[in-house]
Amino acid sequence: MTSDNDKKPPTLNRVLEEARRNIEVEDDELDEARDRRDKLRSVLAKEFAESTTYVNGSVAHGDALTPLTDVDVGVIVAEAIDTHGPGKEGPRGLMDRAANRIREELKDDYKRLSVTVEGQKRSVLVRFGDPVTPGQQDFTADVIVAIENCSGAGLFIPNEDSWDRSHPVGHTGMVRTANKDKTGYTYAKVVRLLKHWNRSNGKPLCSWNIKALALGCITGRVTMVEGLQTWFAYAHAELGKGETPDPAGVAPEPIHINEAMTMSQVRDKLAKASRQLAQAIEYDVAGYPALAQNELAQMFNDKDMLPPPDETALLGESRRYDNHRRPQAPAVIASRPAAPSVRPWAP
Amino acid sequence: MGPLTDRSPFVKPEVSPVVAAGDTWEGASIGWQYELEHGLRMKWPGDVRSVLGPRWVWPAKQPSVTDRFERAELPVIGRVLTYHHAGLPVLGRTGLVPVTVEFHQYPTYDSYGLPWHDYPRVFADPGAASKHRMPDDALCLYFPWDPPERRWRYENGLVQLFDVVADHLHKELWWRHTGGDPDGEWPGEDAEHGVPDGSEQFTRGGIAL
Repeated sequence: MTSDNDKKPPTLNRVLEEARRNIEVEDDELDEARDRRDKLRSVLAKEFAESTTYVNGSVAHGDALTPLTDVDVGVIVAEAIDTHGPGKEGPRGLMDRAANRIREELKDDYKRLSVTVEGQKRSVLVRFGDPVTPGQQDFTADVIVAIENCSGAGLFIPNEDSWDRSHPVGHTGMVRTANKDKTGYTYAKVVRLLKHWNRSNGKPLCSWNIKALALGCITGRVTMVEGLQTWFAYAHAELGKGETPDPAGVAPEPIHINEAMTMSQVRDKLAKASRQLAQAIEYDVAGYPALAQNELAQMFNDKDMLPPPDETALLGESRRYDNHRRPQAPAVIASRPAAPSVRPWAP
Repeated sequence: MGPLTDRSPFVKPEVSPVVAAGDTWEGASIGWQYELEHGLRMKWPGDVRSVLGPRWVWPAKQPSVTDRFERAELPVIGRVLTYHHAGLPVLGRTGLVPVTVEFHQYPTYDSYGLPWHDYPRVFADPGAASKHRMPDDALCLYFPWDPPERRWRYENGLVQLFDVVADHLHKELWWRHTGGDPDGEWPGEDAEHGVPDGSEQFTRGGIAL
């Protein structure tokens, strides 16, 4: 005998696949972003001879969303290995060199190009003045000038006038392994949905936090429903222990949550999404696809990405559900009276 | 003192309010709220917030001869414990519905003989047509003269109250969908409108100070 819990939701995975396609970056957006990123890599390679460039962020990780607004690229400056780093020179000189060379090399291709170092904590900010996605204000790149860490794993990356340990190359490697070798790219698909949920629900976590948590729980091929269910439960439990440590074990600081929120507020959002998803699954398995889609639409909170079902169908299904729903579940607390069966009234 | 009225909580009164002597209120105590809120965080994480605030209330009629000497026509500070649900899911609705529940220390509405803690004011979907609402737009969730197991009571807790509200809003939706006033279908059982005969003793509004 199979229980409801053993049954697979017939509608939700299809609805989620459609929603995912609605937010997936278009090929031409991606091609254009990669082209600009590669131009930056070649400029950096010219400025810093014999150095290695690397890529990071959503484009490199295969989980970019539309609209695509930025790209991340870095250079590991070979010549600075003895002169720069903790206790030696700060990053500002290298950042200025990178910025000047980018301006010089790309000014003819992008007439409204603007490159900023002043006020930047970690990266040279490149504004192309020309969006990749039509309708967006601009497209930007964060360019990191890093140096090799000779005594440990990872790199040193700028932190204003000093340096922090980080492992962007390792991070990209871990994500690519999760995608290609372990999950058949379902890791990236689930991450895309989660990033969009995060965007439309107050942005409690940064994208890297979502991915770092996913590295710990999306470890095999999953359906979208399984992936979301697993991640929400795992993220809620892990964040109950504290902020997420660097999965590469290099950065001294954990990944910080949204600074405008408490951890309790962040975990409440995860718990709420988890409940909504569980309710959607319950509806779907019981044969109420419109109710299931509606619950999911409320969870993602973006009608363009996942629209609610037709209202007439929803209302009809809701009456059918109300007529057949099981008797009220026992009260949450055993000592509480049973839920009252009330008779509405008016004076 | 006779019934109290709630003129306008937003207009500062011209006279100083009187705080009733020995004016403690169970609704303001953490222990009482804890019992009421049991299970709330688990079911509605981050969705419900509460505010305990003052509310000006005035005597509706001239006070008694004795009272007039001491506190004629002076407003009184009562307290209201308000719970705001940011968005309650309602069966059949695409959007989430904000809901407000108010517990009044000195109800300015008729509580039909029920204690203040068993008859909170509940508001949602302001102005929506409904078969079962009060003149001030509050939801008429249950029949005050029904036996306790057919009414929401403090002992049931807020989790169950929000369930009752969600069910009520779903039924309002269906009632409107099927034509609304006068022939719309109200799914499930409801009570006949009006105060039952012989119940006049319960129709006194408010709480005498």
